[in-house]
Amino acid sequence: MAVDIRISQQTVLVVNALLLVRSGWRYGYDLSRETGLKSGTLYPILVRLTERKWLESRWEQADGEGKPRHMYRLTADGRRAARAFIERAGSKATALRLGYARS
Amino acid sequence: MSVQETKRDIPKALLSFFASRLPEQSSQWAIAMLAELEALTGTKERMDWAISGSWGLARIWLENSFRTLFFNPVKPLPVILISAYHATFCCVLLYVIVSQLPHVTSSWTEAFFPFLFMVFAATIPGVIALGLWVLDDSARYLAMVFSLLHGLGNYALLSTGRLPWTPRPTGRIGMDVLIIGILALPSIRSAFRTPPINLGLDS
Repeated sequence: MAVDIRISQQTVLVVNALLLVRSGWRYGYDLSRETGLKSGTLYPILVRLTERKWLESRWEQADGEGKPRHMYRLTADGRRAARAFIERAGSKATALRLGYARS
Repeated sequence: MSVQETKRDIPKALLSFFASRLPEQSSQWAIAMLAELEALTGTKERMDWAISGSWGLARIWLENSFRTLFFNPVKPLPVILISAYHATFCCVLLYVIVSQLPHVTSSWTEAFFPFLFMVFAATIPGVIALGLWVLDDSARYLAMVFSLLHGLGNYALLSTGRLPWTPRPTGRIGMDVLIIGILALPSIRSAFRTPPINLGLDS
């Protein structure tokens, strides 16, 4: 899968946050809190990642009373592409600063 | 009843307003944002989420419009030509207005508002051209009304003897009739109802 996403600090933050959870689904608000990005910045990035098939999404019932929320996680291809993206984005210093773990 | 459930839920109303501007498939992103908003409880964080989300939805809408503007493969040739005609018409009118500026003899306090009105009027065909280019249906109607008024105006000038029956004004009337006829064709009408670009969530 080609790494054709423009490297911005915000995109690196989102991709990094998604990479850190190996198989878990993430809420938009959790991603927003973790990356420090506001919804207006976060969601256009999620749109672009989904367009490139890096992300998959589904609706989930939060709990018995809660309304359904939308969740995201990297696809298998997306995970590989995301790693390449982080490597390309980053100098080691940038990756370390963002807390990216290679494991 | 909680604040979120009342009709005065400003963050929800704000986000819903921008969500309603998106085409159906893209609006799923807005629904996702609204769903997250429902899960938030703090007034400030809800408002932050809604304001920023509205900006994000506006960006998605702009990107959508940009793609439609430049990469729409189903734009019929007659619409492209009519759009170009209106754009040219707009440019010619603006050129005529600007070229007349050195000949203005009255003071600018008197001339300013008539000048402003003329510039505004001259941009109408430009707006129509842009609307036709993005296949906006209201622009199609506006173009037909504009052509009708333009044609009737020319006919009035010809019939009262203020314009001679020469090829140029009669040709302009013919052009107006042609534009109305083309834009009213069923095949052209259907082109103005293109499906939205897919930015859906389903991966």
